Amino acid sequence: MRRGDSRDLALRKRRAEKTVLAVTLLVGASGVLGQLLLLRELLVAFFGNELTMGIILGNWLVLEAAGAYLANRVPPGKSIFYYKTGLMLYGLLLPVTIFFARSISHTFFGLLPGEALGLAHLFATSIILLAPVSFIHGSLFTLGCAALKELNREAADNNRAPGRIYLYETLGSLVAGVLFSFLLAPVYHSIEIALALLVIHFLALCFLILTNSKGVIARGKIPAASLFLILAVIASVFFGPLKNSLHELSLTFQWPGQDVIHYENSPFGNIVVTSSKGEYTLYYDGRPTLTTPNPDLAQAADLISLSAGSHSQPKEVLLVGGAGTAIGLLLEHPVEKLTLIELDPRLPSLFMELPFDDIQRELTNSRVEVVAGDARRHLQTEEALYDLILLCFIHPDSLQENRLFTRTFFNLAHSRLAPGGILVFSAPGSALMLTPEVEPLLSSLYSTAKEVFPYVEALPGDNTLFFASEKKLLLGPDLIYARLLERNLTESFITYSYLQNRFDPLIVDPFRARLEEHNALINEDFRPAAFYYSLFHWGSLYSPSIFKILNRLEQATLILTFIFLAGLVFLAQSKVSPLKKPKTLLPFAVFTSGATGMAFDLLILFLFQTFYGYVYQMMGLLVALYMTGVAFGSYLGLKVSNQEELRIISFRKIKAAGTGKTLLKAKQGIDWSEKRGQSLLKVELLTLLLHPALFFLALGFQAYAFKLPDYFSLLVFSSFALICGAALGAHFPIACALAGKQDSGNDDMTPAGKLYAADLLGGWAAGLAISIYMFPLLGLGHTLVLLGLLKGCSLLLVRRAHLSGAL
Amino acid sequence: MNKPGRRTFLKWCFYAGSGLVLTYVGLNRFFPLKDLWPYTGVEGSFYEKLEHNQVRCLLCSHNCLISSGEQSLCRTRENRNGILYSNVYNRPAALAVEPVEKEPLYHFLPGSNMLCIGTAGCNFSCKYCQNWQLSQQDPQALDAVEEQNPNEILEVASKRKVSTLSFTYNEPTVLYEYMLEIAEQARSEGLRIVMHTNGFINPEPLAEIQPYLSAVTIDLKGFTEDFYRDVAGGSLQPVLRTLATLRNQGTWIEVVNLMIPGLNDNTKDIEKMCLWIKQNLGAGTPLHFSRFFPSYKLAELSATPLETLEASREVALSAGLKYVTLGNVPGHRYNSTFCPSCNSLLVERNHIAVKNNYIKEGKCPTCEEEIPGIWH
Repeated sequence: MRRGDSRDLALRKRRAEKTVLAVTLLVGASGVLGQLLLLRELLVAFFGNELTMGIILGNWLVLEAAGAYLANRVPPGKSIFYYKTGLMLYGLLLPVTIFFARSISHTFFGLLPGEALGLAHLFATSIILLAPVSFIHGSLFTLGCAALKELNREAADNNRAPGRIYLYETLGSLVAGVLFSFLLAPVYHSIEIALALLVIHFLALCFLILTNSKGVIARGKIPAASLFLILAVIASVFFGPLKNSLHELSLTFQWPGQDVIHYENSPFGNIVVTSSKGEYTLYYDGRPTLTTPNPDLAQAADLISLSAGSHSQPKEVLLVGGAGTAIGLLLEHPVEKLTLIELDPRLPSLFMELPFDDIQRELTNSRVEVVAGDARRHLQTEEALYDLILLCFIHPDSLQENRLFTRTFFNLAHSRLAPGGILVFSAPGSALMLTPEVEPLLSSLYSTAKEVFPYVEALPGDNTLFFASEKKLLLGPDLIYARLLERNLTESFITYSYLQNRFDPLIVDPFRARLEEHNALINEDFRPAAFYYSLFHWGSLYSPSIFKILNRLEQATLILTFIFLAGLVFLAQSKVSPLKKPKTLLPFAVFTSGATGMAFDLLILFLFQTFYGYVYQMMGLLVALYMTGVAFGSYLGLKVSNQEELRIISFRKIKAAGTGKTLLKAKQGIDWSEKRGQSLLKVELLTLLLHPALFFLALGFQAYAFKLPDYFSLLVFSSFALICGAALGAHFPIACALAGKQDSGNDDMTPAGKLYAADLLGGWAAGLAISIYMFPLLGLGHTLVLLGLLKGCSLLLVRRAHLSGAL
Repeated sequence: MNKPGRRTFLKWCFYAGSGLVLTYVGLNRFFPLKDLWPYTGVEGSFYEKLEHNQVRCLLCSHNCLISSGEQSLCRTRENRNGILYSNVYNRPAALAVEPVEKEPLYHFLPGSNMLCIGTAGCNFSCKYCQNWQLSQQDPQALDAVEEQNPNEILEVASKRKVSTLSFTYNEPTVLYEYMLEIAEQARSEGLRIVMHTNGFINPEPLAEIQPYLSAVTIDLKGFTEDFYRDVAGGSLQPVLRTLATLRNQGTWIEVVNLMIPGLNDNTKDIEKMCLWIKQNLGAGTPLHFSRFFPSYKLAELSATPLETLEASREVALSAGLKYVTLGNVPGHRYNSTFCPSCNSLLVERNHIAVKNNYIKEGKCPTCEEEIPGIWH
């Protein structure tokens, strides 16, 4: 071969490698975009319950892990072909998956229109839906590493391939996360974004094919032409008729038999308005929350008559939620000023844009003041006092709503009540008796309110009402009816007889006695027990067996904690512990960092939602910043592993000359193994220290959430996400280089794939455990202690292995 | 391979022992080996004994074949060594005083109260059930329920000064033995018995309870077998048979149909249903169209548009039915009852409250048209 040919070949390889890395950026970006898009779509399909985020993200991760692991089986030399195929398949499947996410219940389970999914269905559907895309996306990581190696066989730094792919993928995720939060999500719908990704994937495939067959993709003109092509195709997708047709078609599957007249994603959630035979229904995160012009008057009149009737002079009223019926009914009482705050600040302005005449009349009433803000913020920042604070048909079904039922919120409400003021809130109930499904929820709310208010009265019904006040209320049919009479409000069906039945001692007495007896957890910001009990209630609708398991989980907290600790002691101390060998220790360390990573990611999202309530918009940013941290950490990790590789190369050379490791140490006087082990130890230690840091951060925000400027709070959350990401991102490349070195005689893809799978498996396990059990039931503190112990165990083992020279 | 030493062996034993103990404690915590339930129940009626300790329950049209140790579909009947027991006898999960309009019963002592009794369990599994916490519940799960025998129930009725007892909330067929005993005693004390049922009961048990019944509200949930199978977990024909039987035996019946958007609101089916009611039950049978609101498993479905209810009422009137009202629409004009002859207002209602009852001695005060029902 001539020298020119050899240089040309090297140049072509270099360019091909750059192309693979550029495509890896795209793979990272489309991965996070696919994840966020499907997360939002499935949140709507699953009632907007944030705990489902853990299940969805967890399932995504485990399927990615399966993809990454099984891609190792691809025969050598075929990686580039499979990489291209996977790239195209992912692009094709993403819009299809989003389409099916909207009609999932009918497609897979033959459920009825409007039939909600249970926890088991949720788990199964998320697996079925996510499997194709996440499996392929996971395999792209392993295939990318193999492709890079295949293109660059002789390169000295071949062991760095996994680390480099990880870094580029993460960088892609970061860019996509930021773009999603600030540009894509507010403007474009999911199908538009997925179709644009399909086009970009197609073009990336073209690049790869060109690279492979011609060697050199461009000599000046092709990039420009391609750029033009990209822009033209993206423009055609974004502005062409296809995306809207697909979007509209998918919505007809999601809301069969109804015309969707409005669809938008506000920072707080998904809003859909449908119309059918002159009736408008507003769905918030998939739940019908408002019907107009003929709302559910029976429920609304019951709630308003009883709550307004509970106060002798409700002049100043704060109404949280309830536009549509409650305002009109409340204004029939002697209310001088009614302040309305909707759960989503976008709703009042939307009501004015839609043909909601009745609601518009309510909102423009001179006695009504609409606050386009957050109820918690309003109570913390405004100084007005209220005779009545009413949470209207808001139940702690999601973290967004549960933040209005915690002890912190009740304290806030208490401080904003005028003398004799009453806080009224409701929860799902059973009109006839306190059934086991709903008992823990109601008891938790009752106990939480009792922590703050000296007097709390509960009234059973289809909606259980709670009246909390400083003074004893002595509510009963006589008192309420006398007030209704005084206010000339006896025309409705709320008659004396109705009230007598409502306060029927046959139901009320045993109900209250049972509520007093039950010992449910207090609902806290950092331990949203009521939210957990709502999950109970929700679960029992669909699968009573899951309800039983959840119930037993609560009872078995101590035992489970003990088993967990015993397991850790066994792993750390036992002579037969499988973690004695570095081959298993490294995946364990990566598994724990994957678990901690997912835990921090979710806890940051949950805490942000608890304090501010608009994680729906900010999840892209927070995930992106976390990813930035991961990218930065990966970069640092890679740098360490890179230095390491240089030493490994030297070592190999010396070894080849028959001198061995001892000679290397003796000659150079530097123990690079020790330095490598130290790096891993440092990141493990830093990760451990982040546990108490997160706890103190949460405590700080609980006290000062709305006293700090928003940008500052966001900055703190972002910085923390960044730091967490960095600490956890550094694990993988270091571990990868270590594993590669230990396995240097073989194809080092296998350990990389295993570590990647361990990372993702840790994330999956933590996603499920944190969402369904640990955060809502054990609370933030307990969760962080257990996670810290897990990480501590990993740190201890790594340190021991390092000291013994095994690492 | 080296033999493990004594210390290692003991260590392994310790780990294995600890593991076993923990597993036992954990499992017992999660899945108790036996739920302790002191309640023994009472032997059920209407069943036949089969080979191998199996029994066939003949109370409702499911005709469940139940092996020893198993429960019926309604969860209230259990085969214990070849004998069928009712697990809800004397165990009312719900006891409350309600207006008769809540059933709905619009032609039965308007404005009066009744003592309502319900237990756990149901032989249907309607996906929109309002009382799912009772109806879809295993009786054993309701450990808070206090046993109350028929005498105690009658004492409550007497204390609360109600003259009507209603078996409602869940399907009364599943508490048959309890219901029958209460009905027998109540009848002797001059109380009236009403029942709100899905009509899935078999003819023989129906024949035995029927003499005690003053009025029955029957949920005619839809008018297609598909709807009954997919949404309610039952079938239509037995319900139609029960309606016709009760009518033939002279029991006062009112029919209620909850209209669920997209599931049972097809105009042709509504028309067929109304024609069937007219032909088999008579034009004077009250029919109530109720508005659906998201509930139980159909939590993501929108409420029934008012237009659907009003259009269905027109269909029913066109089919020849005389008393067609709308429910779950407080304040709506057709929540009230009008005279089919002169269109005068007969009973003015707002939701479940009777505002005015103009009926005099069972007749329209304006044209003196006889209004069928039980008025005193």
